[in-house]
Amino acid sequence: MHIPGISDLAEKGTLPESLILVTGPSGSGKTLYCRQFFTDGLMEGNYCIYVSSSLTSKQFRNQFSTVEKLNLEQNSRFVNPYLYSAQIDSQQQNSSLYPVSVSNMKTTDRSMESQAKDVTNEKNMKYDQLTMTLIGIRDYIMQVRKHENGSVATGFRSQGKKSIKSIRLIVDSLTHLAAIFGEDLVLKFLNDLSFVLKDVEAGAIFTLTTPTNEHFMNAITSILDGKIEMKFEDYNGSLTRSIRLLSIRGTHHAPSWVTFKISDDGSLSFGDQSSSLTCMLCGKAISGRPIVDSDFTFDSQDCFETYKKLSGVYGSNISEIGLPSEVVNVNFFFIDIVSLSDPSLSVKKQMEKIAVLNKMIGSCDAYRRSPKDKKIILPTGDGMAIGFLLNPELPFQLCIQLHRKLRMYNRGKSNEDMIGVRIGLGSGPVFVVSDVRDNQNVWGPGIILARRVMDIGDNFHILLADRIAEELIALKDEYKRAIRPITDVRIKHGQRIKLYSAFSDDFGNPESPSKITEHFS
Amino acid sequence: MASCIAFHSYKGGTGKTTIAANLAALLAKKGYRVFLLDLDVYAPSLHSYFNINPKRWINDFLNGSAEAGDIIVDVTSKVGEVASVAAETEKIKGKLWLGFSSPRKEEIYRLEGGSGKQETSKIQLLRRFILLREQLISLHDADYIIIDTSPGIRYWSINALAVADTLFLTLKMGDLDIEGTRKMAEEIYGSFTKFGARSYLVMNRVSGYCTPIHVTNRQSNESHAAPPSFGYDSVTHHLELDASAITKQQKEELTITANNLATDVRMDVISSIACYCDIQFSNKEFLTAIKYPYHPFAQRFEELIIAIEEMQKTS
Repeated sequence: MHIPGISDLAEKGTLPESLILVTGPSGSGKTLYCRQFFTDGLMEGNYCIYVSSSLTSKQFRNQFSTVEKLNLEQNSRFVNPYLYSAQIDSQQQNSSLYPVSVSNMKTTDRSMESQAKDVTNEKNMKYDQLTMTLIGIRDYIMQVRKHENGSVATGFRSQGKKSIKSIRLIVDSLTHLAAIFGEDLVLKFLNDLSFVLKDVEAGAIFTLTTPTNEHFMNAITSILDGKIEMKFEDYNGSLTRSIRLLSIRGTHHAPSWVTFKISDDGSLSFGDQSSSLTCMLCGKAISGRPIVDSDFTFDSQDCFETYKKLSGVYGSNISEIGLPSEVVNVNFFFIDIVSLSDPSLSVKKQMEKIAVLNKMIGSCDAYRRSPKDKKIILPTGDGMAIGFLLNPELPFQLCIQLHRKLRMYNRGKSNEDMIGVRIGLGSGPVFVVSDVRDNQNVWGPGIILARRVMDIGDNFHILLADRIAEELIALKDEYKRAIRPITDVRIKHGQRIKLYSAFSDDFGNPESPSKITEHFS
Repeated sequence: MASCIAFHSYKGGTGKTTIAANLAALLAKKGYRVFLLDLDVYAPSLHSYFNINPKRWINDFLNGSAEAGDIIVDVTSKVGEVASVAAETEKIKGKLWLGFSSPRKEEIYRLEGGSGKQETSKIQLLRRFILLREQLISLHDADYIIIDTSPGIRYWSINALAVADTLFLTLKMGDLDIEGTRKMAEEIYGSFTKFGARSYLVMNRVSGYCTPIHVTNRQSNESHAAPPSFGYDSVTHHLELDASAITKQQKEELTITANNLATDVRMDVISSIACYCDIQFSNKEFLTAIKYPYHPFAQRFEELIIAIEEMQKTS
């Protein structure tokens, strides 16, 4: 299960499908966290259910106006338990699904009896509203599962595994639900819902505003699998929001606070994701002008000096404490969107495609699994370059995972809406340099090679330079089967390399790149 | 600008904790905001020195389960109580907080990256430690962070020395390992000073001193200390003990030893603290520099603080 910021929040970068309580004071970012969980879920091709007793359907649609309309309509469901009242009003009160008998009430006072009945009827109605919400959620889940099973039965399989989409549910917020329905009813609803969700291995988040009734909080915690805490602090007018995964049932976990930022469009960025460079020593995102020494970057003079002191003491053994001691080989993943510059494509559409691609890459397991201090991210306008320090497998796995997601995303779309990409992989040393505007950049044979290789490709090609291809082929048989030599090519400045292409049933492009025959053979 | 001072030694038992605690308390008395951290993670003793049983430890911050504010204990009032024993009672103008290392063996193993992926654990712990220093300065307005480190060349003593800007290598006279100290100074301190750190020797328990009679008499009669009439030089940083308490020959020997040591390890001696018998044979030394402000022991710390303040001005 991927929750927003998971690579920063959990050491392993992933969680089992869980029901998680998200707590925090008003304004700490809980609702935006829910929104991100929801949009990420849709982006990853999951079914999402959004439960809120404070939103109308229209408000819900407006909140997710950036999500593709078709995807929102087909793969999500909005539920407002309070709005079930209209349906219940039209039914008989004795249809209560959680009946509370009034016959045992011992009173002879008619008005009191009448009042008591009113109270009971109101309570019954609340029961019914929550029960109908529960039934609605359960029916929707059954419906999508039935649909999914049908898809699998008709032959849609991926690498021998059933391609069943996951289900995500968001309840924002339990505080508001409790205010309307009362804590006892909400606890019962939550308990019943937890069984429905666990039965289909769904992931879910539930928000609760703190401070709150301790008994209520404890009861919720006992029903759910884990807890996330959010907070915000005001440092001289500068608001800093933080989040931590406090606990997750059955898993050893050392919680630590991670700061996050909310961008203008409401999306969240965690830890260093807003920056392409992190401090070699303290691991923080470099917000100001970095200090560059050889191929390393530092956040401050203090960090630079401390690193130098440590490297002076440890020498080449400094890697034993997790700090690099020498220039490391970087394996680059270079990607761009094919035909993005097509003049018939509106700027809005171009931007949407870039945003979708960025989010999709960010949701890939290979991307998330790579620790933040072991990757370099460089946006390139119509794509990006990601450098994976030390590990040649991750960029290749990222290619495969991304292609699978893109195929799912493109299914049923018009040519204009489809996203096509080409990817080049290359490896080699890089140097951190300052560009003319004093921005940090990475440059060196590794990234140049990946770029040149990518440039040769057509839509959906995954092309590899010889060194990284041969490393991967030597590593695993499955890579050997997927990565195949094409030809020797001469790239810029007369450099000759052996070019490889990776493809299988659900990733890559088996055709030979058109430029091979035109320019390089 | 905040300063981070680390007390270190080649061998254990040199009096690092005693010196660090007295210096920290005296700095707080003078009006500074001081944080004294027990980074002697393998044999922590600061909690025992202050007789405090903390709820949270530095270990909790390092493993990410506590914030800096959760693990520091404000002991300013405790220092104030000790100060009230002195004749010239002065308010503690600043603040003193303590951070303690857990003596539990499981926690000590964890600090060595004993669980999970060792490399990842070690770098995460180091990064949290750097963050702790940063937060004490940025969020808690520290003037001084004083770190009591582990002796010798060990992971956490190196980390502590690396984040400090001033290093005090403490030596206990009479139990010197000149060769070991010289080697450590050369191999370890050289790297630190090359990149901006200042390092000095602090000589502890130098010979030739007995209990100042004025102190003990006043203590028994008036339960507070009065200034003894010793002829120490409050300006120079070198040992200037009264002739009645140290023979001329001892004094010469001490000067020669200090000079040789400074030459050998290529560090200046910033302070020489004598072996005061009243402290040595007391049940437990506890913030003598606060309790007896006119004790020669306290005067050494006054001098040390002047030297530190001078360093701060020139840095």
